Amino acid sequence: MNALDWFVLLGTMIGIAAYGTWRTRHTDNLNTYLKGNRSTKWGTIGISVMATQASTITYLSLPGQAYENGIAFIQNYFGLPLALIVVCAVFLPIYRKLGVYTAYEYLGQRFDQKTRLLGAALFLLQRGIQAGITIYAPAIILATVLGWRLDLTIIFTGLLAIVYTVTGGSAAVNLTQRWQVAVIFGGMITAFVVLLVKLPPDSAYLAGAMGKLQAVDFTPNLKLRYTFWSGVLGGFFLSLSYFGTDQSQVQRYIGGAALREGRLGLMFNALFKIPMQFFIVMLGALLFVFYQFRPDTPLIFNQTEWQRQVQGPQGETFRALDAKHRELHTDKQAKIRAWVAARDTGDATAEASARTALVTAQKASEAVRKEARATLEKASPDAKKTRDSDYVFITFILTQLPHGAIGLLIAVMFASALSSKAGELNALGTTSTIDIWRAFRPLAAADEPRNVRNAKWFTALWGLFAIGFALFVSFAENLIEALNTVASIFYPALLGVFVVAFFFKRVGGSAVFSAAIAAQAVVVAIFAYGKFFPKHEIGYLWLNPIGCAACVIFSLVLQAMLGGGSAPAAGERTSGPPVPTTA
Amino acid sequence: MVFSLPDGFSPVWRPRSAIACARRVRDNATYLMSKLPRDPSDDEAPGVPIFRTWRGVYLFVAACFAAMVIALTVFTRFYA
Repeated sequence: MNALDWFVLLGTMIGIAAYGTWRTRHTDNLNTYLKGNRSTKWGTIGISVMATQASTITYLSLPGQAYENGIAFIQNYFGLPLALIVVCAVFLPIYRKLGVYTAYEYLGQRFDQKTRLLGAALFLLQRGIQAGITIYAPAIILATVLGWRLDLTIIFTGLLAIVYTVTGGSAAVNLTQRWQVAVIFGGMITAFVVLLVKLPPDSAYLAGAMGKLQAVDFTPNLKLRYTFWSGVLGGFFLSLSYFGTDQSQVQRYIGGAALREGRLGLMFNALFKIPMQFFIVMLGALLFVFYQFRPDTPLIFNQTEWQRQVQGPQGETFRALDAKHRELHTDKQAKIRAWVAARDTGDATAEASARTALVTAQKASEAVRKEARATLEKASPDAKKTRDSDYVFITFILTQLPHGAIGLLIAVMFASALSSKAGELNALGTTSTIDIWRAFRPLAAADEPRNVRNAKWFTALWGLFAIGFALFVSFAENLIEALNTVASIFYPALLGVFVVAFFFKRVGGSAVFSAAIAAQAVVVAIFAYGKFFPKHEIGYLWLNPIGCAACVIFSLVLQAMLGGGSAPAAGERTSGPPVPTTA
Repeated sequence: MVFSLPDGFSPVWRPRSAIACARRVRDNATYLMSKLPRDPSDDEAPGVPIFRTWRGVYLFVAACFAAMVIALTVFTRFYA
C-alpha cells in the first residue's frame, strides 16, 4: 500500500464515521436512538438490512469459499426470499402494531417475563459471539497480509464502530450504512472489472469444466452441506430466524415512516440478495480461473506464514512442497491448453478425454495443497486460526489491483466490518436496556434520558466485549461458515418460540420456556454428536428446521401435559414494564 | 386486556389430521392478527407501480425467486 491507498482508506473510513457522529450528535430521544429516524424511507431500510447482514466476511471469505468449493454456497440463500415474505406478512405487522423496541418484548407480552428473558439471553449470547467473530475475521487477515499488528487492528476497528454507534444510535447506523454500502459496491465492482479484463476468453467454460459452476444441486443427501433442499428448507428457517427474531435485523426495519417502508425494504432484499451473492461467488469462481493461468500461483495464499516457514528450520520440507506444486501447476496448465484445443475442434470425445485429464490434474494439485496446509498447520499453530481460502481475494487485491483501488478495496473490508458491527452493537445495547435492565428496573421505563444513557453504556460495553472476544479467539472453519454455524446452533430454538407465539395460541409461557431449553439441548447434542462422529454429521443448515420443529412439538406436548390453561393472547401483558406505543 | 375465544375454538388443542392441524394453525394466526390493535398503515397500498396489494408484491417476489432458481439450474447445466 502506498500513500494514495492510505489516503483513500483513511479518508473513507474516518470520513464516514465522522459524518455519522456529526449528523446524529443530538440524538437523545429514546425512540430515535433505538429505532432510528421516524422519517426513514424504504431505500435506507433496505440498504441497512443488507449492510447489517453482509459483513466483511461476506466480501473477504465468500470469494475464497467459491475459489475452493465452487459456487454451490449460493444455495444457502435460497430460503431467504420466502422467509422475508413471511416476515413481511406476519412478523413485521405485529411488531409495528405493538410498538415494541425489541422482538423479545413481544415474547413478554405473549407469554411471560421468563420467556422474554430467555429469548433476549439467547440473542445476546449468539450475537455477542458473532460480534466478536465479525471484528476478528477481517482483522486477522488484514493484519497478516498487510503486516499490521493484529491487536491494534482489532482495537481500531472496534473503537471506530463504538464511537458513532454510541453517539447516534440507530439513526447513525442507518445513516452511515448508506455510504458504507456505496463504498462496498464501488470497490467490489472495481475488483470484478479488473478481474474480467485480466481473464482469457472462455473462462466461464473452464470454471464449469473444473466443477466450479455447479450452482444448484438437487441431490437429496442430508450430509451434503449445500444442496437445493438444504438451501430452501434449512436456509428458510435460518433466514426466518435471522430476519424475524434477531434484534440486529428487527431493529433495522421496525422503525421507518410506516409499515410500508419496512415491507418494501425487506422486499428489496428478497429480490436482490441472491443476485448480489451470485456476483460475489462468481468473483471467486473466476479468481480460480485467473490463478490457473498465472505462472506464479502460490501453493498457499497465506504467504506471510508460508514464507516464514520456508525460511525456518523446516524450510527443506516446505521448499519441496513448493517444487512439487510448481511441477503439477505447469502440468495442469498444459492440460488446460489441451482441453481448450480439443473444445475448439468441436470433437466431443476428445473434449471429454481432455477434460478427464484436466480434472485428474486438478485433483493432484489439490492433494498437494491439502498436504501443504496440513504441514503448515503442524509447523505453525497460528496458521490454524484461519482458512487459506480466506486469503485468496485479498491476495488478488494486493497483487493485481492498481494503487488507489487497493486502498478502496481495503476500505470495503473496513466499511463492511463497521456497518455490520454497528448494527450488531446497536441491537445488543437495545436488547440489554429494554429486555434486561428494564426488567429489573421497571420504574425507570418512563425516564427517557436515563434509558438513552443506559443504552449508550450497554452499546459501549458490548463493543468492548466484542473487542475482547476478538483478541482471544481462533477458528478452524472458513469464516463465513463459522458465522452460519453459530447462528444455526442458537437460532432454531428461538425461532421455535416465535412460531409458537404466532401460530399456537393455546400454548403458554411455562410450556414454551421448557420446550425452548429442551430444543436447544437437542440442537447442541446433534451438533456435538456430528463433531465427535464425523461420519454421522449432517449439514449445519438442517439444525434450523430440526431445532424449530423440536421446540414447537415439545411445546405442544408439554402444554397438553400441563393442561389447557388459557394462554394470554398477543397484546395482553402479563408482566414487565409498560411498553410505550409508537406505531 | 383479555380476549375471549372465538367460536369453534376448543380449550385443548387436538388436531385429527395434517389438514386439520394446518387449518388450526391458520385460524390461530388469523385470530391473533384480528385481536391486535388495528394499524391504518395495514390497509395502505404498496405504492409500487403495477401492484395494488401486498399479496401481489409477495407473489411477484416469489415468482422472481422461482425464475432465479430456474436460471441458476440452466446455468449449472450449461456450464457442467
